[in-house]
Amino acid sequence: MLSSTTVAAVPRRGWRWAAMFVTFALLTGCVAQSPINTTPQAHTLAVGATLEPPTMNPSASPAASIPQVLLYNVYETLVKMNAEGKLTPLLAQAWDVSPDRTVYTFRLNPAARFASGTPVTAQAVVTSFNRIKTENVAPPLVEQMKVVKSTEAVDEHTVKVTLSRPSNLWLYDISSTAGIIYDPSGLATLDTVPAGSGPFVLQKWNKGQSVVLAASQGYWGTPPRLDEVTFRYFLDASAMNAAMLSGDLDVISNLQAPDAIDQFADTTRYTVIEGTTTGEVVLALNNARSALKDVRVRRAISMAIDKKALLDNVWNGKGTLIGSMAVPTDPWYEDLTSINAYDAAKAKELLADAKATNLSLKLRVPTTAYATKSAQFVESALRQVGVKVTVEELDFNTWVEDVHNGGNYDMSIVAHVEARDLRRFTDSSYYFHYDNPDYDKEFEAADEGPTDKLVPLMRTAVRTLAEDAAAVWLFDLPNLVITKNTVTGVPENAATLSFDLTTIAHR
Amino acid sequence: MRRAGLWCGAALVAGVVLMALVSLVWTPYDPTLVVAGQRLQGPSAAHWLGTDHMGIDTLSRILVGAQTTIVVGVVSVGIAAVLGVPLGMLAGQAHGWVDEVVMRVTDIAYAFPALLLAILLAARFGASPVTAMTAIGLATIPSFARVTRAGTIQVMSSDFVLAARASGTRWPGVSLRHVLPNIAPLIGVQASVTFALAILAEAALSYLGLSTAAIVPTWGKMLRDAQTVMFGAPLQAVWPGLAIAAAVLGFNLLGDGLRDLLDPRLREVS
Amino acid sequence: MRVLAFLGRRLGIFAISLLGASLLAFAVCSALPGGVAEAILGEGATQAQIDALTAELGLNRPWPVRYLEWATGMLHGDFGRSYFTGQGVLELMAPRIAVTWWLVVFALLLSIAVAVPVGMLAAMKRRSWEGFAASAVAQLGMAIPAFWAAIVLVLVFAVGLRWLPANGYVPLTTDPVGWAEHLVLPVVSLAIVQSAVLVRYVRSAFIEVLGEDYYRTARAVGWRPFPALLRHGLRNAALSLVTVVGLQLSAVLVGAIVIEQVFTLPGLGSQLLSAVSQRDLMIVQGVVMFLAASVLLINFLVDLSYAWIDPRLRAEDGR
Repeated sequence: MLSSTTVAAVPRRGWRWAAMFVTFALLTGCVAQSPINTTPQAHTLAVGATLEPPTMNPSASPAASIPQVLLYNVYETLVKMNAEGKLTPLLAQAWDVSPDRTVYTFRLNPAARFASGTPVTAQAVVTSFNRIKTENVAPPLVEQMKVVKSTEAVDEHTVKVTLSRPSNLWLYDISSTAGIIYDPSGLATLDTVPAGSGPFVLQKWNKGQSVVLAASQGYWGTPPRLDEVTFRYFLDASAMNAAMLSGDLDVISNLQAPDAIDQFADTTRYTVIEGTTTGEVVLALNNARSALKDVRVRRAISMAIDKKALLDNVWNGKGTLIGSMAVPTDPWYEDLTSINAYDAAKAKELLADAKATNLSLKLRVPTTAYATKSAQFVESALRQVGVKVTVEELDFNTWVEDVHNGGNYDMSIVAHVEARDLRRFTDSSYYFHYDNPDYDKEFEAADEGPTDKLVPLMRTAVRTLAEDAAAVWLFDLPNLVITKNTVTGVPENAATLSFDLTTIAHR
Repeated sequence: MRRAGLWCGAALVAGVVLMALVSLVWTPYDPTLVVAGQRLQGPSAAHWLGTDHMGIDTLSRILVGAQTTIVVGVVSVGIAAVLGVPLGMLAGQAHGWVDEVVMRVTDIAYAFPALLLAILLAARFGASPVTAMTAIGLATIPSFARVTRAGTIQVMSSDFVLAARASGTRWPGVSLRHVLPNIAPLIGVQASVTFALAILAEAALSYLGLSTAAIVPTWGKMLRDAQTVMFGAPLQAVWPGLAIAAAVLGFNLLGDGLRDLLDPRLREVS
Repeated sequence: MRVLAFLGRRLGIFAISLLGASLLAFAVCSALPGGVAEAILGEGATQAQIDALTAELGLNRPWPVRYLEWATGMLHGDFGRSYFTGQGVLELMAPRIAVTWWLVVFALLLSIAVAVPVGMLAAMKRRSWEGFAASAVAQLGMAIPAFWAAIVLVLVFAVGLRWLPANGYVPLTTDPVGWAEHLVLPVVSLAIVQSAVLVRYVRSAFIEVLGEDYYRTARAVGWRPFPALLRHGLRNAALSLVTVVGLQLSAVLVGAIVIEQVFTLPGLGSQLLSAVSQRDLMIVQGVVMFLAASVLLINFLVDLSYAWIDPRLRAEDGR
């Protein structure tokens, strides 16, 4: 096919190819000569995290990845929740509650300044709270702030918030994303440029790769002990572990593959922190389905599942068994795992009682590791008591639309990471479709009652959920933080969605 | 030596098919029943390949995984052949603008390799084995169409077709009676190579989490799961990798071997 | 004149293919307005909120209007804006194109550097065990999933030996050494499969050369086999390899999507996958279009070079 006249051109072509070899030799040569510098520079921190924030605007999306980076680090709230789950002052030095518990008066710290240099004034609080009612804001925040009737600036440093009814949980809610105080001058560009008052500012957002925070010059409070913090994002848990093992990361913010924890067993190099989070992994039961309306069937499903064995298999035994919609950092938490505990024989009896011996249910889960593995376990466990389960995996967005928003499911599994989300069971239109007037009353009594009665009253409500098997609580996701030994001050528990950098330092 | 490749390929493919068939009626253990307290065991007399992260016998899952592999391959290749072969025959027999249009459409399709098309479809319709198989099938239509077209043109110019046409046989008859039987081996080669490609593409999609089949074991998904337990149980990542490699190798060798058996003139066009 | 007509015709086909590809990408991603607003608002969004945001994003307009806006925008280098952050898609893609570019180019060069000698060996010694071994290794290389090779390389060289970083990326301008270090493992993993595919083509191309007159002549006048092949065969085989390499380029581009994922390289592939998981369909559409256009461009150039090599083909259709 080719004519032999082309032979003459060989040398030139050959030379060019040789050049390619040389280029490669150089490339690999560089590599061989330079050992990798694995020691971190002083006062910088590289944190591995899973999901990248879709936007820098905490009010635009409910994605937990946003408060992970920004809450308490870049943005601040009037009150802060500490690692023990207690509320402490932040932008507000102090606050009073009126005797009927509907009027909150916050006194702002006069030293507080936004990163732009302007003071944090009462007017900024009013603007921040009001925009939740007027702007297109993520639905959960709207829900949490619905109880607010009005917000007024009394003077430059005093804010009065009037609630339409007493609510003990509201003060907890404004310690999170809903209560962020924005710099009014930066509202137009929140999607890419945060406008907060925290100890860090956004330095660079390398989309798809990392978010870099830098210490805010002239921060009004105690200056952070880190100059620069990089959150690097890994969709793949194994890639994140590999980066930690090869020394590229200082911290894994939350290990997504607990099976890999043994890789960090070398205590001379790593510290493994095991705490709790606010993420309850819930086997949701669609209470609107006729079969699942029957409390006997719901209890049978709970009893068919050996939660301890599930935790061992699914999450390498890391995590806490909880038994209801409360986690150890909730003030009202108590161990309720003995309610509807594993008892396969009793489960079969209950199913027979309910004449539900030919039950067939669809278990539709999002494709996250804990959900798919738990689904596999649940399918096997229910098969053992004669319930036929069809598992279907959906990507997370489809799951949100079809299952969470659309209610098109029998059973599902997801981690409810939002704090104090037991209020969801009062809303019968929420995807649980749980409708129990007794529970609603108990919850309301706890929320609206005297503050010192909050814990005992809430315990009653939480216990009702467990006894009624409103759902099955598989476990509380653990807070598995891996750090290099040189890093200190990482809190054990994640009581909020924030990865709080304010206490972290290098040894 | 060349025949050795063909026989090796045939043996490997037969092995995969045999695994799938056997697993339809028998596996050592239930391939989907989670067993508490048995996870990540090494190979033993009870579990020849050990157990996975859920305490399920790995050999049983590998066997059942062969079913998925074959289904994915057959459906993908089926879609590509059913649409691609008639298109190619049409283009090869009808000259002029029909040929032009068909070839230009396959040009556009070339711009969307299987993986890219699968990701695109998954973005819109959600990731599922059906999306994956559809994407792989659609993306490989052009190669079927082109091979068929080239073969058709060659057959159409042969004496016996010219004779048949001269005696009044219309083109559908020519297609079915003369062209199809003569290009069948070519299509067989293409199917075999595409099968291998489909297995690899599905494995990659499973790895990316874009072809999820819940409890049904697939080799790609087993690899993905094994990656997280790789330090403690490296063998769990070896078995599905070996299975994928063996199946792909088998179909590739089979395709190559078949090609070499064909008329050398046809070899050039594929 | 004939050459100009040929060029014009090819260019026309290229343009029509681009049009078709853009229609397909748009049809899949954007033709139906649903989904985007839901994905942004997340859980618990009310229909009123969804409608308001859909209108705000201009997604309630008829699809032909939106397609024309997008397609004509691309002609001016405007690939639309991310639904989530409002940033320009091309702006977001630009730094990632560089990453994918380096990965693809080096992987291709490395695979050629490996495949040509191995392929020549396989061709010359095709009747002895060396040739058989080379072919067998190539077959095995083709059968191994690239991501699997990548995982093993990370285990050995990053986690075990700690010679190279496990993943991540440093731009060339910031730190050339770090840049090279971060590219080695991804390039090697991608090149493994690619060189295996190439070895087979090189082998058959050289087997053809071995039968040609000029090779026999060179051997007859006293050239030893390997220099003869190198001197006379390489040029000839290289020409037919251009076609293969061109087509392989599109395979490498797609393979890069998976490899970028294993190594968390911030290239186009990982941008595409994270956009898919966030359902930022404007980015999906943009990246898919860019990749599809690249593949079409490569095919176009291959067509041209093929015609260039064989003047007979310039006269008729290149296929």
